[in-house]
Amino acid sequence: MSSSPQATGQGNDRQPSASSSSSNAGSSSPSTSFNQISNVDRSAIIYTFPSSGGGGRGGEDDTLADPPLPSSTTNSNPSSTERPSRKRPPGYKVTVRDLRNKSCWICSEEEEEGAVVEEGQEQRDHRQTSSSTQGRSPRRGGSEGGGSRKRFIHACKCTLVAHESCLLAWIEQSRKNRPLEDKVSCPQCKSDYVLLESRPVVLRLLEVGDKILSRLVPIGSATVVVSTLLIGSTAYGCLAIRAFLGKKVASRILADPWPWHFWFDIPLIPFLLIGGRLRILGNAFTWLPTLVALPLTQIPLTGRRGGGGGVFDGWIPSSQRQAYHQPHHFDRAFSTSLNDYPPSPAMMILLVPWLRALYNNLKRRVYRAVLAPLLSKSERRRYHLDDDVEGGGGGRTMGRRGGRRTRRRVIVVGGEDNYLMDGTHPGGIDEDDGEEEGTGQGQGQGPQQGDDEDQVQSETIYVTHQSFGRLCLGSLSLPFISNLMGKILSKFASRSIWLSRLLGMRQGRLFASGGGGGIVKAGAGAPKSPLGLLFSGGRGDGREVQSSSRIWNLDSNSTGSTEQATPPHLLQREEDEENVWFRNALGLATFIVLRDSTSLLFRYLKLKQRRMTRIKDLPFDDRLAEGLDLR
Amino acid sequence: MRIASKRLTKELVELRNQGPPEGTAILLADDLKEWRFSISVLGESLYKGQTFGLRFRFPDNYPMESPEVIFMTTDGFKPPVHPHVYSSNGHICLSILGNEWSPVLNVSSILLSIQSMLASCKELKHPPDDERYGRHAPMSPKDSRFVYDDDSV
Repeated sequence: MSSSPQATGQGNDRQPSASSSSSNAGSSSPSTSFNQISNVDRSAIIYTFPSSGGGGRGGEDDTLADPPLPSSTTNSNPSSTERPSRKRPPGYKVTVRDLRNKSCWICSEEEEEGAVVEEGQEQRDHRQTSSSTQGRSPRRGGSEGGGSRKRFIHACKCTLVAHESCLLAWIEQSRKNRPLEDKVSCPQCKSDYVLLESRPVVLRLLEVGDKILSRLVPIGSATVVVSTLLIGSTAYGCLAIRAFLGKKVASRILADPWPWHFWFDIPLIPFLLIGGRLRILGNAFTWLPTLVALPLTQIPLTGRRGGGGGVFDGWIPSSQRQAYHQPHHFDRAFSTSLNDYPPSPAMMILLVPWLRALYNNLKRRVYRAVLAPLLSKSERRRYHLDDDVEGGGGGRTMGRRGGRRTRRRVIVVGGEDNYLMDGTHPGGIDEDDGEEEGTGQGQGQGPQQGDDEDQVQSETIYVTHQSFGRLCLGSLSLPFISNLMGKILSKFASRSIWLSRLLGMRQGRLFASGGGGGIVKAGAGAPKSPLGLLFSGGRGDGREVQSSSRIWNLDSNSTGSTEQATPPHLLQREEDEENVWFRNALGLATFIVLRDSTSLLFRYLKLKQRRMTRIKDLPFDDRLAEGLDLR
Repeated sequence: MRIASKRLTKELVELRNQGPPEGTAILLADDLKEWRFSISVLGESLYKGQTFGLRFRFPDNYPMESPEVIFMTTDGFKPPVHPHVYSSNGHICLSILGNEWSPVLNVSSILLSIQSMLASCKELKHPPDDERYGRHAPMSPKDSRFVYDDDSV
């Protein structure tokens, strides 16, 4: 390896360094009398080659790219008769400085004997002996910039020599080409180059830091993306809660100390809303909330353990009665019998999925009943298949076929104007569903007809921008639609007593609860856990409590028909807030029913229109008619 | 750039003085950017009597980087039918033009390598992915990632 010539080179250099301050020193080592013959005036210096088979190469016959093959060229130089190499002391190691002629195997620049060597070479060599590495790059830069000779180096086991700068450039390039190999070797003899790198501690530290940073980048970007999503969906979740439950309840629920699970629940809201629309998850969504909601309902208890109440105490009569008989129990202040009717949100969470499944089933039947007569046979078959896939009562049809329930979903992204076939329950957000089944979907089902024989269901799902947008926007706008519908309902309710009673608004209490009311002792001790309030169906906002306690105190004082005495607008506002969520839920249900009916109507009309479409029959033109063979 | 022009000048001088390897001839070497050679295989081979054109293009950091070498498809030349030569664009799948390149090699040795690549060919056939590569190949073969799997030819 190059280390041994290096060492001897150093020794070599040291010896003459005192004497050879003259400019002739140069790249060949001036171990003077052994290998150097000079004219009297020192105008020409002849360097001879050592005995180890090396020889100076005549400039005229060496090929550019071939490595110098010394033996073939030794005789070209007339001065080779005097081979001082024999005079070398035993143990002398020949270095690149002993070469008479050198040609860089990279840039093929040659350095012939007698050439003027770079000034200061000696110094540099000397510097290298003392600190072999640190001065390297400035030296390289200096030699290149000065336009003078570059330093030759012999870095492998074969006869290739090269400029140090060229070799460094090649090593750099080679590392780029093959980043996996940490060693760069000579292309000819395959011996590894030994690089003398000295990295100061600071550099090493910085390199380690750099490596760590570059590893952190993907993690960091992932974190940013995830947290953006999280923040966005949390914000959406809060907005949705606010829209659905009403401002006051929402501000209570979302009051500052959030229980830890809020950070999971609330960001999940938008995803659940969208996911709930997908048929794939449809089944999970009927039972999942049941699993989730049950433990959730327990959590608020911690905040009000003192009360010993349960989640359902809002509508469990016994606990109500207890609350009723302990009028000073602050937490229970609002657990009136009125809460019996509008089920608490917890109960809603438990019930809604099942109601939804029921509704979807019903809807499917209605759709089928209405639309089936309008569909052709194959389309009807397709339609039934669709129902099967939707789960629920689908097993029946398959059972009739008696086949395996192998199901294959093909999701096609793109397509002209096929909307998402899957994300919609029949006609969910997709008014064109029926039509698509007739046209685009029919083609998609082509292979499926054959598959049916093998009892393999294949389902082609078209996903387009349009359908995806409809799915997402439709799902995400639900809370706000429900808010709007709730408001509309409450408008109506102010006119209709029955409606307001249905909505569980307090006005209804005038009629519903004879002697039930009037137990309120709201205090300063507002419940700590907002979620507990949610699930008890109560309210705990300080301001609200104050005002309402005023109302109810008034109520109890005047014993009896005081509600009428209460300023109606105040009462209205209070109750308005209280059951906003239930109102909104009913509003949402109304909306969904309306929407589905509209969609059904749309599809019905479309299909009917398709059947009714005829082509206008035109009479022949008079002139044409003359030439026709008429009856 | 200085290194590239110096070295190419030397190579060119040498090629002109001593002549390129037997069987090859300089068609065009007016500058240090692009050279063209004609190449034919000596002795008995599947390509006896045929002459092909080779186009060399040298990057700025030659010889650190390999030259771009393709069989010419213009000027009446057609690339040889060879398992490592793509028929549509003349790209050559040869390791010394890719990851095996080193500055030890030069134009002359590339010419020799291609000659021997042709000479050792046993069967006239196109590369297995000839059509596909022809459709998607980049302009320069140096932008393709060849997998040098077959050392037999």
